[in-house]
Amino acid sequence: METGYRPGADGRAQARGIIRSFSCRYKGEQVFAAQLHPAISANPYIVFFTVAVESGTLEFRWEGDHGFAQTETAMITVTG
Amino acid sequence: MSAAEHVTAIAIFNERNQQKDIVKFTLGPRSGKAVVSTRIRMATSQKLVALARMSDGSFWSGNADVIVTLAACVEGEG
Repeated sequence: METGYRPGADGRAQARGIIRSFSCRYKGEQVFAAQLHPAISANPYIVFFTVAVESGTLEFRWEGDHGFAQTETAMITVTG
Repeated sequence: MSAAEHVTAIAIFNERNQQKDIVKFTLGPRSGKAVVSTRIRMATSQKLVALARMSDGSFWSGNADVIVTLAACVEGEG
């Protein structure tokens, strides 16, 4: 997470490179999302809740500057 | 956080960083509870404002004065 304000060795501000958005889909339906700005920490940290309604796949997606995109998935098993 | 009455978004703002926006969270009835955590950068001691949008269109706000005892990474003149 480069804010775009931090000077580099040459004294000029380094190009911004941040994660702009995060979203979580639960069996395909979005249950949480976040839009991030440069004020988010260098190593972004996000905690959120979602109600465990049924077994399925949670999909986490991050998108950022310079075409950055990353998707991770996790299985959740709901019993009872 | 029911389908009829829930928090749809929470936004956090600051007053003394280079940009006022910090983060905006999109929530819904499936969130269960309107509780989020994150970690942010602050240029100096200042007031933070949180704004919550409800499903009925109303807004709630709260603020907190946060003291930065030592700025670890000063980036330009805030």
